[in-house]
Amino acid sequence: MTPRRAAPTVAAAVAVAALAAGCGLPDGDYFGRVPDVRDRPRHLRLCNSGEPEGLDPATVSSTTAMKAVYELFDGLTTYDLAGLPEASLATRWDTSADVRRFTFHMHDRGRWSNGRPITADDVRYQVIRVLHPSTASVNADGLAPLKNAALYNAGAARLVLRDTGALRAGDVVEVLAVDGKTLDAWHAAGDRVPDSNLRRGSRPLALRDRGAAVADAYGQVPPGDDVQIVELSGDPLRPDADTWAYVYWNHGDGLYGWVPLADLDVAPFDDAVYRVRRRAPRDTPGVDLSPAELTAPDPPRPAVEARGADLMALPEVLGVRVPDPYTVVFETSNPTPWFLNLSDNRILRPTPREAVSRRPRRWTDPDTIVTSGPMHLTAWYQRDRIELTRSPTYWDPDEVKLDRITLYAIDDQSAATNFYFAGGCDAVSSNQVPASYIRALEGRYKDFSIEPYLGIYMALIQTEQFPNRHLRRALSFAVDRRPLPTFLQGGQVPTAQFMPGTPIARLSDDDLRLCGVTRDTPGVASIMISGELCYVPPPGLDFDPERARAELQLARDEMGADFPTHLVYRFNQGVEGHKLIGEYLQHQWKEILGLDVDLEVQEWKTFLTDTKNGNYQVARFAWVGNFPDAEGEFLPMFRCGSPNNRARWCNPAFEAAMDAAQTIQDRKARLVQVREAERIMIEDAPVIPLYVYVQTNLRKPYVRDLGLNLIDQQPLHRAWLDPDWRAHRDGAAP
Amino acid sequence: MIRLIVGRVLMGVVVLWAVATVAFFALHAAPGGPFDDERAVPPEVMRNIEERYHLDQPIFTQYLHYLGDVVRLDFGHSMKRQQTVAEIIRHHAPYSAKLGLFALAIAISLGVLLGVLAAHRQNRLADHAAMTVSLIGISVPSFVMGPLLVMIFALGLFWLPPARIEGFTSYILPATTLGLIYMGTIARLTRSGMLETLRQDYIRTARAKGVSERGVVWRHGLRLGLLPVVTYLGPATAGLISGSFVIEKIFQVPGLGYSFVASITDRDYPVLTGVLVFYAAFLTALNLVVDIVYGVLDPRIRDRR
Amino acid sequence: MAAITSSSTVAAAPAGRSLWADAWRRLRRNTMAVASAGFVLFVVVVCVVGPWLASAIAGLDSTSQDVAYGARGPTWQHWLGTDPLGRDMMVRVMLGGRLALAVALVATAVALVLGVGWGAVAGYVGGRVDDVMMRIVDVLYGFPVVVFIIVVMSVIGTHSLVVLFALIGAVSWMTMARIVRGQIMSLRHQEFVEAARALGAGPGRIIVRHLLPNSLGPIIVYATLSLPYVMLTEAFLSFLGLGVQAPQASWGTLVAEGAEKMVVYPWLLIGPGLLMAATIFALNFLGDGLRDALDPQTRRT
Repeated sequence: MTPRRAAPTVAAAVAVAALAAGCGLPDGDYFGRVPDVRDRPRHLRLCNSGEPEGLDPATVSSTTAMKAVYELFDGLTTYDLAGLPEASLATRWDTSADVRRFTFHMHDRGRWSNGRPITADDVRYQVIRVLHPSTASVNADGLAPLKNAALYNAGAARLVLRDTGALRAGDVVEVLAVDGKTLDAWHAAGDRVPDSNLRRGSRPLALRDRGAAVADAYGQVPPGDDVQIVELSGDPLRPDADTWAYVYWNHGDGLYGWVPLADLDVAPFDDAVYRVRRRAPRDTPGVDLSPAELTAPDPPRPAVEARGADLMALPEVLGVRVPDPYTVVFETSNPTPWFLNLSDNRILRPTPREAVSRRPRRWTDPDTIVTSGPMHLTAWYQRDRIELTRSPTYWDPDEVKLDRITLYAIDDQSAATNFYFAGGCDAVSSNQVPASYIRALEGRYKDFSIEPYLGIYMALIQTEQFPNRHLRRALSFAVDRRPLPTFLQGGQVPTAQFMPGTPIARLSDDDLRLCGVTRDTPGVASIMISGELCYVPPPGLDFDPERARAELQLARDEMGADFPTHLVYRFNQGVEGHKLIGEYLQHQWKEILGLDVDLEVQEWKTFLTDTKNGNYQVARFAWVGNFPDAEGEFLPMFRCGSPNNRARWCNPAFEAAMDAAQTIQDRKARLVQVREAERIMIEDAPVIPLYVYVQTNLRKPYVRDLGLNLIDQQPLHRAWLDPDWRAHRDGAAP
Repeated sequence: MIRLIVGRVLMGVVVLWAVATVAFFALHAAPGGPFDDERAVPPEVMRNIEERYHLDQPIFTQYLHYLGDVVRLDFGHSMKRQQTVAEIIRHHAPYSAKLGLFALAIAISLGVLLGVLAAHRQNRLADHAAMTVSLIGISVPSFVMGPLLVMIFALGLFWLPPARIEGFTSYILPATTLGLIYMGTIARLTRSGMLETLRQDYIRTARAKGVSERGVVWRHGLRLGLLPVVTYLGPATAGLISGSFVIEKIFQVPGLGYSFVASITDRDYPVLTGVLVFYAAFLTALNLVVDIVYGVLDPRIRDRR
Repeated sequence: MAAITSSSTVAAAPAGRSLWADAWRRLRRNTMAVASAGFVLFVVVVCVVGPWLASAIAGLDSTSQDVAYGARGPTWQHWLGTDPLGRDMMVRVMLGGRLALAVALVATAVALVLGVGWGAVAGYVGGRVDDVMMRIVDVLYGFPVVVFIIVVMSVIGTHSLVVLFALIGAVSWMTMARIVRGQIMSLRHQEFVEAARALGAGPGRIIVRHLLPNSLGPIIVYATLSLPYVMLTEAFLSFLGLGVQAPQASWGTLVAEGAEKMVVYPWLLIGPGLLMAATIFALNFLGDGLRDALDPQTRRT
């Protein structure tokens, strides 16, 4: 290019470069603009992490949806600022001595947004919804500890309505085969197992609220159409002329409604022969058993046959009972010390039957939603924002510090951070700050913070492909975790332990005493119940090049010709950190062990499918817990039959240790056993833990009481904005 | 002309069928399903879910069902969101359309202006300057240009919002980013088209007849000189309106493009196929329009038809 | 070549000087184009030879990591700074250039062959064949690149470079086909074509000898536009995480990563970004020069 002609090009290039270089981050105490909130002191604008997939507590599962769901729907307990359960609809709860029965006592002040009182029956209805097969909820697994929950969800656990042969009315049975064909055979043939709940009417069926006039029906089922009985009113074992059936009509979006049982006159599978097995008494709901009975081995129970007319999969088989309108009792198959941690979860937040029945899939639209929480849904602009306003019917209005919450759906990290920078939102959902910003923000701006998070980042080893434990141990010993936060730049906590938690060095003195460790102990610990219970995971196989090489030599000797010449590390695309870690591991394993490592990147769903099917060697993975409990949330992924056991690691010693823990009622003694199980697992190295996740948060200085905790659950409505924050800045908040 | 249109519409139906079929089988061939997640669902639970969405049926049965629904213009329900596919298109398409049209306006007005200027002053400073400017648009990827513009105008100067759509001003940055990409190409095509046209005999005739230079360039030259641009406008408009998802992501515009890409990663089969058929229908219509405009602009083609 | 030269029918070419010699002369006069060509050549040489030199002279390579020295700005040791794992950016940029140029060349060649063939046949034959062929192009247009690439990559399972070449080529020929078709349509009834037909030339001969040479201008313009377009497509795929995979990196990957980090570590974007932009600039200027030089009709003025 001649100088004159090149001038514009060069000028443009220089301008771009200058802008790129010069537009660094601004000075000041806070990151970006701090807008004046004097004109809207009771309106919180949160940059949420994207568009929620829905707002129905029974079916949603993303953390994005939770931000709205937990404001819209109240629970027996709810999250406090520390993310632990706190009384809400329930005022108190009792746990039975065998840790299998949990009784929640509710107050009568709870109201739905349509004015109806919230009762224990609403809680029970939610359990039924989550577990009922026609709801097809991805959350059903969360209620698996409840008696018969998994069987009910699979359509296998049923109730005998009439005395029939060897079965008594009220017996819980498990379906083994129908008309001589096993359930698996039915499924394999692509057929639906004949459902003894299906009924028809010879006249049109009017689906409506119980007792409402036929004219008020919100659905007319034409004669001859199948409906599915979900539950019966009154005593299901003794239906009479006044009994109503709550049925599901699979039509369009589906429709639920009550119909007098007498109106249903045809059961298509009345005559089908069901081959069933009686369930053990410990799975029978409503019966108190002694610990001896509960732990007694199952007596052998011969399979018997029953007619379809005598069987029904009513929710009475489930471990949930409502002895009176304000008491709900849950029963679990095994001692479940962490059950309280489920009571604030979305799975147990009641949903309004009257709204769900009419529009099962769309009842959460703003014009039809019925809510119970501190906030009500006023508008939902898809992939733009959700507007919540203070609910006039919430039972505890004093706790609600805000009149309005706006949740912006911003799923791009840079966009969220930029929007915050420009003053568009008051706080950003955690982990929405691009990794590259973190090093520049940390310690520089007062509105940025990094906190630990209940998640573990790891490299999983497919143990069927690498059955040699020395090889696996070598891989773990060979990774120096310390540089991870340096190049990942997010303040991550390097760890070789599996169960995540808070670094011990950061614990308070009280917590150190509780955990029984000294401050210089390496590793992390998690406080499970404040002041009561602490879990310190066993140490992992941390960086030790000598031991790594020694283990590798052992592996080489044992494996001989089978010793792999190279291995493949797989990760999913889209997150730069995964790639950096892959490149780092590749480098480390080559450097320390002399192993050649290929990197393979896959699209997310392909990655999930392949890892699930065991089609990998070593892969990046992560696990985030809903509550800090190794036994309930983290270790089950290594149990033999678990769908999450991507490592395909099945170890009898580990199984025995986990089983042994289940029978221990004392929580501290139980934790000792759980720790032993984790030790067995980590020593066998099906997993190479790398770091504990952290959460990054941006909150404008005027935002107060927006909880920061390990599981990133905040009661948003308790936050408030301080218009005079500048005046209060140096002193304590008023 | 009517025969042309009827023929095209029939052809369009075939195209739609082909697109729907390819899309359906292609996405189903990709591993994973809409309900796979980091936390795996137990097989029994998955069975209920698959039954609920008819994913348990043989793929060909699903295809026939799907085709039947499409014929009735029922694109079904999203598997990941509560809306129907029709609702999703209706809600998100206008954002993409607005963004695309703003961008198109920017691209055409600036691109044609720069192109004509460059052709008119071929090989002079104005030519090189115009081409340099237009080249910036082509040579900087939108995922660099977007954040750069944000950095300058939203974060540095606080003139415009950095993300989200709220009012007209929030369209300026995304539409500029998107428009710049196409502006460069349009400017180049205009330039080469004009250069060619200005050498044609009839232009010389016009000049000889004493038509002013401005008239020659803008009235006589532009008409034929824009032919390559018109050819390009079909795909460009399609790209502007449908393919702007990187910009929709960067600026968090709730447009259809980004929903569409999300449906691929989510394996949201109904949304993917539905939106794809919608796009294909749109493109078919657009191509028809382009062909008609082409005929009107170029007498040589029109007369032979 | 000679055949094409003699085929530039109507234009009364000055005797004894071939079109290509003529073009070469004109190209040489266009300093801008020559400078651009020089620059592109320079970039190619640097990218091909640079990594060896860097390794031989300064002991730099693309894989050695020094995490403690990660993400530092330019120094005398590392001219373009280092990335978060402490790898030298300049070596990575040069290696990235190799890949980016290779992708651009191969994919453009694929697109050129497919697009010109398709468009020429459709445009010349016209009628129903044209309709069907163009509808197929429409179908492919209607089928977004991303789906196509995700599906293919998922089914194949690996992200190999060959797949990437083929895929980008396979998705970028349609515009070329349309342009060639439009050009041929507007030419096929011109006098010199009618004359050739009257003289008994077959369709293949007419396309290859008469129509394509006269369409060379737009083809070259579009092919040069195609090179940067392909480079940008590759960058775009990298932005989506579908492009060149670790530990290899192309300009596209580097720029995509740099764009994410430009606020905090601008040098991660400036190095690869400027080089890529400048190369695209130069390729475009070169294309312009070629066009001015090669278009047979230019000689009339």
